[in-house]
Amino acid sequence: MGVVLLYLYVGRPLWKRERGLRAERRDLDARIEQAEQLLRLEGALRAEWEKHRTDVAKLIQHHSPPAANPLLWTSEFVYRHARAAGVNVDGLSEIKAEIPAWAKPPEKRQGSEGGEETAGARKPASRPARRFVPYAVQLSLSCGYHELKRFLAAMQAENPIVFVSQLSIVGRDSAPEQHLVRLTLEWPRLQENMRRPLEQALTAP
Amino acid sequence: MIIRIDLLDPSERRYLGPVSVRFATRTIALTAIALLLLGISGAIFNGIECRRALERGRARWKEMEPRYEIALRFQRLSRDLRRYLDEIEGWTAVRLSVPGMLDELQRVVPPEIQLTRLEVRDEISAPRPKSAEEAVTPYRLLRWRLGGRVVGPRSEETVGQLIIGLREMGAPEALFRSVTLLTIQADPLSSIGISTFEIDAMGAPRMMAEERGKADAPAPPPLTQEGRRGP
Repeated sequence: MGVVLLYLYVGRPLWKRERGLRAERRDLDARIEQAEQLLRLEGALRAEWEKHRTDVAKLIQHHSPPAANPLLWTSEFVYRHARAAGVNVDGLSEIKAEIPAWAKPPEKRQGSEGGEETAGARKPASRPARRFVPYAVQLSLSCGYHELKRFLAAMQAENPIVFVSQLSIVGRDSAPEQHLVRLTLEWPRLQENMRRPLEQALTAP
Repeated sequence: MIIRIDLLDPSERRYLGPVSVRFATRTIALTAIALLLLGISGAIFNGIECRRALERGRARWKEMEPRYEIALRFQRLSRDLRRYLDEIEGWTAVRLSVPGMLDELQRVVPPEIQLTRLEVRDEISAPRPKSAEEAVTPYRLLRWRLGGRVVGPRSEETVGQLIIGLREMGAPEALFRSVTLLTIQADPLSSIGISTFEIDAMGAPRMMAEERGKADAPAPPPLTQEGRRGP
């Protein structure tokens, strides 16, 4: 009887507590091991973040049209290269377009506007939000074929994210060396709702 | 033969085995108690040891936690930034060198042909998503429309040469998936046998895939390189 009582009231709770302590120790050891592994890469992680920050900042600040007055930025870029290549720019205008469907964030399901989901309800795997949308301008030019090539080559060489999405060259009988060219240039531009998350990612912890 | 006669009542008989029942019961009970006490003392000892190790571990964790949190945050931020770069790389990977294409076009146009019109479209499209949750990968699709004049009696052969040249553009990876002659007709007003023609050329969709797999890669490839160049 005494043995049973000893087992029930002393032995069993002690073993249970010991098992709990062991489990807690295992968890803590695993956490420390994981942290040590990450801390061994601390320098590399910092360097990688610095590199990504420089790359993103360079792309967005230097190669993508800004949020404020993008046409001014675009016209400076276009006219500078046009002058250097001997291309006449007859007109430059922004193409106003809605955010394309593929770049729109996923629609919220009915009843989930409040943000809180009902307990037990599984969150659907949502479409990843696109960070960039096209920003396009249309140009009317008059120039020769070689000047046009030089103009496009210079723009593509300087800006790694400028795209020619449309190009139309029509010959003129009156001036065979001077073609009428319509050109649509396109850049990926950061969506408005992505500016704040990007600023956060660019700020050091 | 030995005959054994036992006149005792069965309740009064002595156990004739090597160990008495009483002794065996006591031994078992004592062993159980000893084992129980051993187990209890082991648990107490291990518990103390565990507690000490936990205290040491907690102190270590407290010391390293701030640095770990910062490193973790650097890792997360780096991954976030990598996604921005990946998405841009999805765009740049499908960029074509337009001056290169124009150069190539000059090379493939036979001398008897004079192009009067060239329309290039390389616009972004995307399949319609089946649901609001479905991920959609946009793509660029290159399409050319060429119009021109051809001089000479065998105009269809000259236009055929141009079509072959267009099909071979961008070799080894062809720029166009299909090159189709839309119209060819002789100019009735021309006395030197001029025909006009129109050609349509279409490339394959170039997916602007976001290379998410790279999000964890330590050394990303250089961003400014063009994944696919034009001819």
